[in-house]
Amino acid sequence: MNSELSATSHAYRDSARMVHPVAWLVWAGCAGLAAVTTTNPFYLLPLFASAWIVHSTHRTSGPAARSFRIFLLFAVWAITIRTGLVLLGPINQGSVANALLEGLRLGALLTVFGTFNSVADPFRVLKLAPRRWHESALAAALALSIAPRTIASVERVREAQRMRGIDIGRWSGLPSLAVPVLATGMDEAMTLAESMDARGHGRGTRTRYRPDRWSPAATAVTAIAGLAAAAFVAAAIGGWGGLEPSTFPLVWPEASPALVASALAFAAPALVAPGRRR
Amino acid sequence: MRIRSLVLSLAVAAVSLWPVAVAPAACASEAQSAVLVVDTGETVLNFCVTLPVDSVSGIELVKLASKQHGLSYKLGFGGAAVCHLAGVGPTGSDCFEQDPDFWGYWRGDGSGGWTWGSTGAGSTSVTDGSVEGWAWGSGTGPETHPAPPATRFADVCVPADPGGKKEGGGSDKEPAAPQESESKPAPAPGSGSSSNRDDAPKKERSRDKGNKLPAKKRTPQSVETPAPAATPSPVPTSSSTELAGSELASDSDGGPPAAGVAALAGTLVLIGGGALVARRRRTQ
Repeated sequence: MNSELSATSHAYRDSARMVHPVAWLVWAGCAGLAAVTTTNPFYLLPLFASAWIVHSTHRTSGPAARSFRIFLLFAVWAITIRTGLVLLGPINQGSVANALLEGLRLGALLTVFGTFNSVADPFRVLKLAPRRWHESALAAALALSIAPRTIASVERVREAQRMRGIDIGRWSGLPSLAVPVLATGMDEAMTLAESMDARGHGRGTRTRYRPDRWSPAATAVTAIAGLAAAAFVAAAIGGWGGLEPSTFPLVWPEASPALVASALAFAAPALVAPGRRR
Repeated sequence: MRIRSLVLSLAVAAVSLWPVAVAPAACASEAQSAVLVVDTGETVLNFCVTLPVDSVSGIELVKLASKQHGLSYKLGFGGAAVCHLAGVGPTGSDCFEQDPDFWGYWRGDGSGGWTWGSTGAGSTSVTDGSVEGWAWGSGTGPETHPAPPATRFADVCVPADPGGKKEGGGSDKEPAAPQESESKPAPAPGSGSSSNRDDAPKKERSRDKGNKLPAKKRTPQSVETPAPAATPSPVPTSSSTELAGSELASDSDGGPPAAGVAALAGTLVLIGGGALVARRRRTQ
């Protein structure tokens, strides 16, 4: 493809095919909802894969996108810890498998959350919150963004240390990394609070600068995610589809084609990737 | 286009994997069964439950009893606890909604008595000849929670006849069994807390008739042989309740269901597509 053209009109297409932050919020909420209803690997693995392809097609540039990797690590860590906890109870094939599946569910949740972090800017979501909920939304946005901001500051501190020739080991250098990162986090929070205060946040005034447009892609993403989550909720309420497979005896869990399709449908945003084609 | 073709190939993969038939399961070689006693405080229901595999969990046994004998149940806390049995107990997912009453889990000690289930019913092992009991009531331990009436395996499950076809024999023996159990309550150590112990088996018998349970209390062979035969149906995934039964029956040696294979194929395709896109973006 003609890469120059795609480079120059990149920004335009990005805005045209950009998925609205609220659509991402709905997508993440629905995918998370689907994940918590099930421990069936036949649903969780496609969900994992869907989150991954959505991340790789839609991730924004910048530190927020890198947080996906951290959440993926968290997911692996959650699975490992959850499985390790079995050692405290009776150990058999079934209990290990059960722990593994519950870990997988946690991991899927974390991956979905990581994807949301990497594709949508929490502050853009914040901008859309109704005025009366602004303060609680602000707290939520700060909580949401703490991971990407911490990761960014870790990277900055690492780089600064490298440039000064301080080459420290991965683990032994943890204290010398943690202190500046915490200090930076504190400073950043203060700066953010001051700048928001200066811009009149929390006083009822709102900016209309660069409004986000609701595109057809956003409608599609929202609708598909909503339908897919509805299938999982219906299965959970109706008790069909083998959402919580038996691990004792350890058998192949059943898989409902409708739910498998729903889990795969969470990959739908990949079809409207910005900056891809044409 | 690339993404679209990926999704297209995913769809093709899913469709082509669809007819992968689940390997026909071998029939359960010999009948294995366990006894499930449900004591609602007013009624005592006894079930002889056929086990499709060597060992199931206490929770699975309840599900099997539901499948084979129509016992109504509702699990809570993510399927790990029993909330509701035989019309008694909370129907939501909070099993302690009617606190202090809850379903206590008892395990037969092999001689008619009961020991308090100290681990969750989802992680216990129920094998051929096991006796499991659920009793509705208050009390958080074996001293205070009511125990089901003393029940031995042979009281409920008629020993399998080598002839195997004696359905009438099963129901003939059935009324005889409680007489046996009436002589048992004295030796049972853990069951002295309630005065209605001795008359419970009679009650149970009369209720059983009302619930048309004796018709289903057949010898294990006669109960279970039809179920595995239903398994090799090429589209088992369409009906989930049917599937649950056949899965359980078949899975001692069965493979994953077709939709599961499709799910794994879809997962691989999406991961591959994601990796491809990620690499393209990095090189751009």
